[in-house]
Amino acid sequence: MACDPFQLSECLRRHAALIHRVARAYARDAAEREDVLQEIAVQLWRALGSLDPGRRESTWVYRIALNVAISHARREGRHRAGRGGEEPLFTLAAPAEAEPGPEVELLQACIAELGPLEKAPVLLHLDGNDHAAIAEVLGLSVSNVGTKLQRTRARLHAALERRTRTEAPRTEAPRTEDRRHATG
Amino acid sequence: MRLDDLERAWSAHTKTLERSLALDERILRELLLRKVRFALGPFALLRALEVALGLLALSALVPVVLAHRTEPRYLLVGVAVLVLALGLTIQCAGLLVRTLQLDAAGPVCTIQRQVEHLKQAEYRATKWALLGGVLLWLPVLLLGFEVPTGIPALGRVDLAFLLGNLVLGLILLVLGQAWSRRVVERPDLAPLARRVVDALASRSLHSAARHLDELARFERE
Repeated sequence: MACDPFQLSECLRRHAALIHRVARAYARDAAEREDVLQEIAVQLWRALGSLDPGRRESTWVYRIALNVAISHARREGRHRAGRGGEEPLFTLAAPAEAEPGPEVELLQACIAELGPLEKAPVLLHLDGNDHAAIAEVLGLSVSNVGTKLQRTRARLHAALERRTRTEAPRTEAPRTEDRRHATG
Repeated sequence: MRLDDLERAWSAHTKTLERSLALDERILRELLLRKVRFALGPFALLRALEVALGLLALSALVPVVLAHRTEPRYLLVGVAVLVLALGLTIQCAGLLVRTLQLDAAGPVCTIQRQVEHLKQAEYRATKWALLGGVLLWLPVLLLGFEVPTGIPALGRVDLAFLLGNLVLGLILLVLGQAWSRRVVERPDLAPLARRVVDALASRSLHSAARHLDELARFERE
């Protein structure tokens, strides 16, 4: 088992955005996101020894991050395993300008409607991975990934339409009021 | 708003994140790595402890049962206790090995399947420990009493008392199952109570089976 703190911190630094996005997609709130982040760090540290220098490091990090996040999402009872009060192993601080805008938040909300397994190929796709890379991370065939992405994008599209429809009256309402005031 | 627009916004946000995420690794140094080691410890330690206890119980009880192998009561009850202890020890040893072999860096589908199979094995072990414990706690106690004292307690206890205890155990099991089905959906159960209730009501087993089905569908489609 490798236990080089420098190696781990370098790995976390290189893949901070990837880890952050996976944790965000699978956690329901900030506290849960912290739990997922710490769990991913622990598993990365555990697995450092098995990292093959000949293979893509991002594939290795994706696999660990997604395995941890999916297991976390599926954990029975959803009771906090209790890192409560403990100091975190590391923190990922995002400055104000890196907070997601309304469009990214809308897409995150649509992704949150998917099941834990369905989320994985979408996240990988959105991060710019091609079908072959997604297939390698998930352990699926390339053609299966293609079909899956097509179907999931259709579901995302439907979720987006539904959300836009339900959001629209809420945003339209004040305008109607304004118009009434203007004409009245 | 179109999905493509959102995907473009996502891509732009990813670039911002990559530029600006600040990793605070002060706490990753020596002191907190000890914490990581500690965090990994309890699960494997608990399994190892269960295996050690099982082996200890077997090594203590086998000579007692063998010493009374001509007595039908010892043969019947003793063999039941030994079979349960051996079965649970093997299950716990298997869980320990499979847990240590689990490689989180494997393909997501493969690892998730292994995790669900592992969960099923763990739930089965818990269920068998509960069922066996409720039915056989008295014979285990009597056989265990003989280990340090040499007094054949099992042979001296009234047979009607032993059978009565067995019937009481069966009644408790039926009541326990009915109770667990009533409270299984309650969210405020303590972790240990949750584990017992889930095992009795088979909720955890069903949940793992459902996840495996979901995984199979995901791989197939």
